[in-house]
Amino acid sequence: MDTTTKQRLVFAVNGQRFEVYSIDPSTTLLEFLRSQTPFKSVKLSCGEGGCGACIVLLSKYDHVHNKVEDFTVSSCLTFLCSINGCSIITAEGIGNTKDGFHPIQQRFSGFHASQCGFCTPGMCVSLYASLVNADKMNNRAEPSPGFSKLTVSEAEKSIAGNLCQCTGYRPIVDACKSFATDVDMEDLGFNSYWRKGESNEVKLSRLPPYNCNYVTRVFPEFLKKETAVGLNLGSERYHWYSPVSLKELQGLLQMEANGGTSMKIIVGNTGMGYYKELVHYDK
Amino acid sequence: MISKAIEALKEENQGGFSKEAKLVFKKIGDHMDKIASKFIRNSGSVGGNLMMAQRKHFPSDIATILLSVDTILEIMTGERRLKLTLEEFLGRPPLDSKTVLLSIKIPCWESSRVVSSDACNKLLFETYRAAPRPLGNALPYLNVAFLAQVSLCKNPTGFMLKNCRFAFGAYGTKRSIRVKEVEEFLYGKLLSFGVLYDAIKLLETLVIPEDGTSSPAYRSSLAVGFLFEFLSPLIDSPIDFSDGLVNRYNRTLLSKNSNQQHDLGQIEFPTLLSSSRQVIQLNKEYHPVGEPTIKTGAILQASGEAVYIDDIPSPKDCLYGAFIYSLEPRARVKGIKFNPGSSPKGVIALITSKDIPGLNLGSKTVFGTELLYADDLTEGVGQRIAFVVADTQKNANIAADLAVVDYDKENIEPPILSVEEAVERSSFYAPLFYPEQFGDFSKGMAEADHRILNSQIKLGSQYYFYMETQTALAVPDEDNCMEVYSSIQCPEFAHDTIARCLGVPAHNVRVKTRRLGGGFGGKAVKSIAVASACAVAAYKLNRPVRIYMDRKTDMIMSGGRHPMKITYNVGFKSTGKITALKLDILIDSGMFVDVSPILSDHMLGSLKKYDWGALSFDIKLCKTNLPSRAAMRAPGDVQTSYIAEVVIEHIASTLSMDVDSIRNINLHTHNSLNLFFASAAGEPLEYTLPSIWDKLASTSSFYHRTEMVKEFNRCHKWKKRGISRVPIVHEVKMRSTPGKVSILRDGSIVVEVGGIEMGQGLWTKVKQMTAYGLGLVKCGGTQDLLEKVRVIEADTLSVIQGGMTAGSTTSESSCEAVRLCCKVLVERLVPLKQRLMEQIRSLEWETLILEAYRNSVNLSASSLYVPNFSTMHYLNYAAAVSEVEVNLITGETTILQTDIIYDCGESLNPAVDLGQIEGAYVQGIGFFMLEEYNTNSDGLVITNNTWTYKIPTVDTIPKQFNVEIFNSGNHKNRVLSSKASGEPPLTLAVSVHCATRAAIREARRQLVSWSGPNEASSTLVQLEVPATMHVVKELCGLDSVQKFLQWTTAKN
Repeated sequence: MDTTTKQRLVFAVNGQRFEVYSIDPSTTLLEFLRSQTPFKSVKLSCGEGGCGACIVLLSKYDHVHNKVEDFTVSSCLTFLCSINGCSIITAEGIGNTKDGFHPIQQRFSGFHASQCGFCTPGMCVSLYASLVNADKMNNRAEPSPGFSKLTVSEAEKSIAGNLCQCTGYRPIVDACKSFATDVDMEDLGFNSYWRKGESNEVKLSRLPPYNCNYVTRVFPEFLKKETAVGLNLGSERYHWYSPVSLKELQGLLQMEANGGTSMKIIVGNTGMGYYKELVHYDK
Repeated sequence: MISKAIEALKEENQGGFSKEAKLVFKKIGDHMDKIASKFIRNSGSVGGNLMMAQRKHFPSDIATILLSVDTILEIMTGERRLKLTLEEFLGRPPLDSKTVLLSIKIPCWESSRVVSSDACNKLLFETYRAAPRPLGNALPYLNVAFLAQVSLCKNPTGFMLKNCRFAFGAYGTKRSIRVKEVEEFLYGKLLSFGVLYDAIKLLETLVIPEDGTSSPAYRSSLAVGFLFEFLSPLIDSPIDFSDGLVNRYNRTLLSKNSNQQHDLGQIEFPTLLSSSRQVIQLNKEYHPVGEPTIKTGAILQASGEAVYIDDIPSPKDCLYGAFIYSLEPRARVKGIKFNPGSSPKGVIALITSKDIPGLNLGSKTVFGTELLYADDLTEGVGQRIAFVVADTQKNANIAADLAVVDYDKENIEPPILSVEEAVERSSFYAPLFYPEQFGDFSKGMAEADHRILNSQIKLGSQYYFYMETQTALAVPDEDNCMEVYSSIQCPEFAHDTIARCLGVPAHNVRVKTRRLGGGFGGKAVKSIAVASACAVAAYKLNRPVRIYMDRKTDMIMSGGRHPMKITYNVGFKSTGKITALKLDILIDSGMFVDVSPILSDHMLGSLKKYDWGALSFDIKLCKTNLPSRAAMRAPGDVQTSYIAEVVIEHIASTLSMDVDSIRNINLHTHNSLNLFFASAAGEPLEYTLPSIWDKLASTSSFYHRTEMVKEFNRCHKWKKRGISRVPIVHEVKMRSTPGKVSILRDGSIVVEVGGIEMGQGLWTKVKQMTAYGLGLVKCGGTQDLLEKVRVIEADTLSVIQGGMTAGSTTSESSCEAVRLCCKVLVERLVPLKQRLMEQIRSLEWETLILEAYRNSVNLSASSLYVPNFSTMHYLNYAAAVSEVEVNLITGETTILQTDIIYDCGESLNPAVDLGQIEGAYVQGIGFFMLEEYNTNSDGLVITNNTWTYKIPTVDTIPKQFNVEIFNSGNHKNRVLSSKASGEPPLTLAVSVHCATRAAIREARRQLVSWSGPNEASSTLVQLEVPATMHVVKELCGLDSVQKFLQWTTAKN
C-alpha cells in the first residue's frame, strides 16, 4: 500500500498519550478504554448509541485554522482506529478525587442528581461539552461571574440524549441549568447549597464556583504535531485504512473489486447502532 | 457529520442567499436537530444516513426532507462519477459497497424560482415528524416535508397552490416518496376545505405502509393530519405576508405555542421544563437523621470513579461468559452447534447442565426453585440452555449469537402461551396465601342501583431498564472456595444457590455486592442465576469467569413486570357510592415462580385505596411457557392502583358524573380503612389521605384548573386537555434485616447492613442513623460523626441473613438494625465515658474510643432487626394531580404539570425521599404512557433495544413537577416515625393516564359533534396501557381530519 500512510495510532486520553501499533479494527473506543486504561467511567449500557452512558468528549485539532473542535461521541460506536490524533476526555478527565472535582460534578452531587450513578458520568460529559462549546463562542456576551455562556434552553437540552432510569431527570436538569447565563436562581430546585428565600447573591456564593474562562482542558501539544496523513493499521486478518484523497479511496475500492478482500466504508459508524452486523470485514 | 451540516444550515450570516433559501435551510437544520441525539449527530454523517436509506431502507428523516427540496447528489463508482437527483438515487436498486457518495447539493429556493415574478407569490416550507420523543432520539412513525409555492388571489380571495413538493417517509416504506398525484391535483387550485378534502382522499391512497409495519392506519392518518396542518391555515384565516415570509403561520391556528414569536431567527423556544416546586419540612429531633444529606458517593458517581461490578479489573486469566437461551417455548434440546461456516474466536468452553458439580439450580427461594440450565425440555423462550465461555466478552457474545440450538418438538405437549390456556390446563403456582374477602359481595350487588358486569382489561409487561445490565464475576479460591461479585438485590440467596450448585458447604462461598447500577426488582431472583452461572464455569475451569450481559440478551432473559388480565364486576348507587366489587385476575407468571406468590398481597394492598363496600376477588398465578416475571418496582401495586381507577372511571361514565366526585365519595373513612386493613390502618391521626387530598386540591389549584381546562377545550379543536386527581393507599411490610457497626481505633466507623445500595440512598440513611445512634453517647465531636461513617459492601460471610432489598422498607429496616447496634455500643461506652469524665472536663470522641481500645471494650456490634408482627404492615398515603394536553393530529400527549403530596412520616432524608418520589413517578409514566413491551407469539420480547423500547426522557416528563413531602409527625411503630418512599409514588403516575383519558373523552365528544352520534358515541373510553401516540390517536379518531372537513364543508 501507500508508503505515506502511518502504521501507528496516536491519541490522548485525559491528557495521557497512547500509542497503538496493532489492533483489530473492530475494537471500539469503549472496549479500549474499559479494558486497556484505568478510565472506567465510560459505561456500556445499550451498545447502540441510544443511551449516552458511554459518551466521551472528543477533541480534534484543525491544523489549518489552528483551532480545536470539541464534541461528544458514543464510545460504544466509535472505532478506536478513527480517533487517530484526537484527544479524549472522560468523566475522570473532567474532575476526580486526586486532582479535584469539577463544579459540574459537585453540582450534580449537590442537586441530588445522581442515584444509581450509572448514567451520571455520561450526563456530566454531555453538560461539559455544552459548556466548553458555549464558552468558546466569541459572539456571545460575557456571562456574569460564576455562570457560563450556555442558555437555560441549551442547558436542559444538553442531556436530551442521555437516559436515566432513577431520577426522573428534574434534578439533573436543575444541575445543568445552574450554569446557564440566563438562569433565574429561583427556578432551581431543592439542593444542598441553599434554602428557600435566600438572596441570589447568597445562592451564587454557595454554588461550587464555575469560571467560564477557566481552562481545564488543553489540547495536548504532542498531538498537534501529529500530521494528518492516512492511517493503515491492522491485526493479522483485518486492516483499517484512512484514505486522505479520493484517489486513494479509489485505489482501495479497486482492491476489493479485484477480489479477495471485502471492505466496508466507515464514517462515524453510527449505523452499527441500528444494523448490528456481526460480519467481519477484511479491511 | 450531521451536526456540522446543521450548523451550516442554520448559519444566519450566509451570504448571497435569498430570505426564502435561508428559511428552507434553517428548517432543514431544525428538523435534522431531531435526528438521533447530539452525540450521534456529532459522528454520524449525512451521506451515511442517505446511503443507509438507499441500501437498507433505513427510515431516514434526511432523505425525506431533502427529497422535498430537489436535492442533487453525486456518486462515484470506480472511476465513474454520476450526478442524480435524490429521487433517482433512492429509486435505484441498492448500490454496491464500492459506490461512494461524494456530494449533496440543496438548491437555493426563492419564491420566484418556479413561478414568474409576482409580488403575491410566496414560498412555504414545513417539515414534521411524529415520534415518541419530541426532541429526537426516536425514529418517527412518519416524517414529512412540504414545499409549496402559493399565490394570493384577490378575486376570489384565497390562496392558489402552484408548484408543490410533498415528501413522506419512514412510515413503513422502503424509501421516502413524493406524492406527485397530490402535488399535481393541487396545482393551480384555489384552496378550500373541499379541495383539501379531495387532496387528502387522494393522499390516503398513496401513503400506505407495507405489510408488517406496526400501526399502519395510524401512520397513514399522520400523513393526512400533517397535510391538513400545513394547508388548513391558508384556508380559514387571513395570513400576514407583510415580511414576505410565512413562518410558522400554522402555529397560532392550530394553537401550538401560540405565545411564540413568529419572526424567524428570533424564535426563542420556551424552556423544556419550567420551574418546579419542592416542599419539604426538616426534622431536627434525630439529627443528623432527617437532614437532606447528599447521597453517599454521589460525587464519585459523577466523576465515574465509583466502582461497579464490571469496573473491577479482571483478575489474571479471567474468562468471559455469555448465555445461550432457548428460542422455543417447549422443545427437547438435542444439541448445540455453531453455525456452519462460522468459527467463533476465542471460545474456551461450553457449559451446560452436565457441567454442574452439584444441583442444577438457577435460584432457590421460599417459593420454589428454577433450573440453572434447561436439562431436558425447554420451558420458555429466553430460558438458559448453556453458557459459552471465551477469552473476551465480545468473543463470548459473538459465539452465543452464532450458536444454533437443535430442537426436537416431536411428541411434546404444546406450550402454554396465554393465561387462558393456563386456566384451561389448570397450570398454576400456589399463592402465598389466600387473602380474605371483605363483606358480602352478593349482598353489595343487591344493594346497588347500577351494575357493570364482566368488564375486561389487559395489562402488559414493563422492563426494568436498569442502566447497568446483569453482571457478575466469580473468582475461585483455595480449598474449593468461590468468591463472587454480583450486582444483586439479594446476595444471601445467590450465596445459598451457588453453594448448592457447586455442591460445597455454604461457608465456601462468599458473595459481595457494593452497589447496583439500578435494580428495580430485576436484580433480585433474576440475578442469582447470572452469579451462579459464573461460579459454575469458574469452578469447572478453575479460572475467574465474569459476565456483563448485552442489553438485548438482558431484555430477553430477565423478564419484567407481570402481565395480567382482569375481569371486574361492580355495583354502585346512583350517587356513585360503590357497594360491591369483584375482580377475577389472571396473572402471567411465566415459566419460573420467582417471587410471584407475593403479588396477591401487593395487589390487594393497593386496590383497597377505596371503600368498595364488599370486595371479592380471585387471583390466579398462571404458570405458562412464557418468560419468567419478577417483582418489578411496585409489583401488582401499580396494576391494582390502575384497576381501581378504571373501575372509578367506568362508574363515572355510566352515571355521566364527574370522575373526581366519584373518587371523593368512595375514599375511605378511618372506620372503613380499619375494616379493610385491620391493624395496618394505624391510628386515626395516621390516616392522612383525606387531608392530603384536600391540601393537594388547593396547592395545585385543582378546581380552578379544571375550569381552565374546560375553557381551553372549548377554544381548541386540535388540542385537548385533561386533568385528574388520584389518591393512593399503599401497604408495605417490614422484614427482618441485619446490621453491624464497628468503631476503629481512630474513631472512624464502619457499617455493614443487609440492605443493598442500588441508587435509592440506603447507605446515606444508614450513615445518618449511625451518626445519630452513636451520637447519643454525647461527648465532644459526636455532632459531626456523619463524616466518620463508611458503609461498606455487603459480604454474605461477614453479615449473614441479609435477605432481599425489596418492598420499599429495606432502608428503614437497615437503619433500625444499625440503631440497635449503636444502642449496644453506646451502652458499652457510657460507663467508660462517665469514668473518664470524672477525671477530665471535656472528652472528645477520639479520646473516648482510644480509651475504649485500651480498656478492651468490644467496639463491634451486630444485630438482626426483627419487626413486630402486629405492626410490621403499614400504609403509605399520597395523591397526585396531573394535567395533560393531547395533540389530536399526532396523538402525542404532553404532561403539562404534575403536583404530588406524599406522606413520608418524618422523612429520614428528604432529599433522598424526594428523589425516590420523582424517580418512581417518572418510571410509572414510562409504564402508563411510553414503554411498549411487544413480544412475538412465543413470548420473545421484540422491543429489545433502545430503538424500540422507549423509557422516559427529559422531553417526556412533566413540564412542571411539584412535589411536597408531607410530614405527618409521630408514628410510634415506625423507625423514628419515618415511612417508605421507594415504590408507592410509581403508582401515582396513573394520574397521567386518567388525565389523558379525560382529554380523549373531549376529543371524542368533538368528533361526535362532527360526525353525528352514530360513531364513537359511547362515552366510555377504555384507554390501553401504555397510552402511546398511536393508541391515543386511534381513540381520538384516525379520521378526525376527514370528519372535520366533511362537517365543515357540509356546514358551508
